[in-house]
Amino acid sequence: MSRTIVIDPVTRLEGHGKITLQLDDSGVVQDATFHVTQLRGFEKFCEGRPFYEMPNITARTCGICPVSHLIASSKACDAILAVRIPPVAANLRRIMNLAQLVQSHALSFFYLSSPDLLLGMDAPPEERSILHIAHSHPSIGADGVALRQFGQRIIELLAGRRIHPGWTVPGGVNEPLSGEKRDQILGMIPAATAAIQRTLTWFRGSMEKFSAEIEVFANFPTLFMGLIDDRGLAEYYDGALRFIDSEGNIIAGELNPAHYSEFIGEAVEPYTYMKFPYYKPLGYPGGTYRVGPLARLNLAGRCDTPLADVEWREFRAMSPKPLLSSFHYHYARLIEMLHATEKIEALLADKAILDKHVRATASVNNLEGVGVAEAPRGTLIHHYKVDENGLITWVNLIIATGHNNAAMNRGILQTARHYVQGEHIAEGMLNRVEAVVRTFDPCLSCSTHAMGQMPLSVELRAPDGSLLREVRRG
Amino acid sequence: MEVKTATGPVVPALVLACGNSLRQDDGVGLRIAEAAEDIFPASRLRIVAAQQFTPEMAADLAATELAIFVDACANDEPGAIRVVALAARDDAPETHRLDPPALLAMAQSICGHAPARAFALTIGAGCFGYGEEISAPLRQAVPRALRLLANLVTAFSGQA
Repeated sequence: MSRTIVIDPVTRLEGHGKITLQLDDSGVVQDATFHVTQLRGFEKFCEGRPFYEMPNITARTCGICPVSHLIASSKACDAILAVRIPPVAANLRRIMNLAQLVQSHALSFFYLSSPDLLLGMDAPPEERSILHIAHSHPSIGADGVALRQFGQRIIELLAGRRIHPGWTVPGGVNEPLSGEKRDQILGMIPAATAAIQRTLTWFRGSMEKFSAEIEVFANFPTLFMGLIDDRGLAEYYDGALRFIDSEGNIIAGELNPAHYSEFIGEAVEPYTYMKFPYYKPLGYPGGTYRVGPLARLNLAGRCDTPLADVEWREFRAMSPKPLLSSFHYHYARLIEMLHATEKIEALLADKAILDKHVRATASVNNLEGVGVAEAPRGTLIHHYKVDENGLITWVNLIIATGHNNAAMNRGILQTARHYVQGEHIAEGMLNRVEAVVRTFDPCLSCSTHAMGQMPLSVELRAPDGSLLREVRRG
Repeated sequence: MEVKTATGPVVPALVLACGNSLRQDDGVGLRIAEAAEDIFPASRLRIVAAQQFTPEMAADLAATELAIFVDACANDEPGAIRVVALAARDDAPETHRLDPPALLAMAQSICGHAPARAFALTIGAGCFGYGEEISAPLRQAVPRALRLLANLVTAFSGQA
């Protein structure tokens, strides 16, 4: 008799999702699905709004990465204005984007995943939270808090205020950077860099303990996609899109992000509101790809900053081909944080960063605009169409978590097949199935985030829907 | 590791305000924070506002001797203002967010310092529907809450 296991909600994610595991007669996992049970509707309710409102409206999509939406949206609006924004404005946006990357990666690594990494996947659930880490490993907890605050403080300094910053706007930014603020940010960088380096040292030394998880945490061939600069190096704000395959071959080298719809399709499945983007030439699901830190470090020639390049070489030395296990997202996140701090420092070292001309102005010159940037979790695409008055007539948003959706589902299946056997449901099993999802750091487009223990239930159901067994925690 | 000087200067007083400005009265803490931003220089009062209290605020707390948490309170009559002295509490249960006592304890445990004095300034709230406007009783309460906040800063931050 086949049975179904439901994990609802999945804990320590941004937003709410649930997992269903289908068992066959012999208790082996036959299928796994990750459901996103929220419908936000941003693409629909933005219709009719003036395009210049879009950065602030879409920033409300998420409480964790509003800056990513601000930037992708502002770039789409730049395209509607048909302006080339002042170089200093582009670099100020870059700094903000990198600061956003640091604070978001710190949240993912330290707040959400470090309990698993420090205490083990089988640790009691009540201990798997950042609050417990603050007591059990205070120095690591302190580094996590300091790094998250580092990113947030830079955003605050750039945007002027933390209450709904509207600093990034169509055409550039609305205020130049002062020398005093630049110096404040520069003064924060050594402590942040040291905290990341300490964490990298610890994490590298602990990876051996997770060889079993590395083996089965979404460890399979897929494509990888991300932005690169004109030298093929890691790029987070601009550039071209690159796809590589699991052997490391570049299958599409310099794709214009504005033409994304020519090479990215979006499939739908009946069990979730989240779409399944795929690489069109290979169809669905053959064109499944991954984005985000692992993808970016797999496909880029290197990072382009000294300390991060040293770490990137160590990272890539683990395999002559792209690293396929999603467990390595954690490692990639740390390297990206290091790169971000170095890059921010380099951008601030340029005297031109204090230039006063930070915004280009124009009226509607294009009836369509696409803005693409690398958000912490991966490539973020905003695509708008407007009428001649600049009112939005159509919106398409492809969020990083969406790109990873097909790979996440396959990863859950792989992990569940390894750890779930029959009706016996161990706490460690539940946590590993959730942990593979956490490696992707999915953001389920929720404006609030959860930390610590949330209620979770696992149900075994017969084909007729009757409840065979239930395990509940929280 | 001492984090209090990692991201900014030490300030005499700190306001941590939370709420959702899209859910009517829930945003009253942010309203007060915005108003306070206009009357206090940054050198005298640091203001941090967010949708909820989160762990990184421990680092902000570690860099001050006076902390004032500002939030809406669903359990009080709309517009009722309450000021309560707070102390660190280390046995906070697991929740989806941090409450101020847990945050104070976290500042002490991982940053090595917590403010000498901490208060909760809450405003009773009753409307939590969709909307950016706060209800009439809360609009009337905001100026009084702001005066109370200013009094706390003056009395306890050591600066007139």
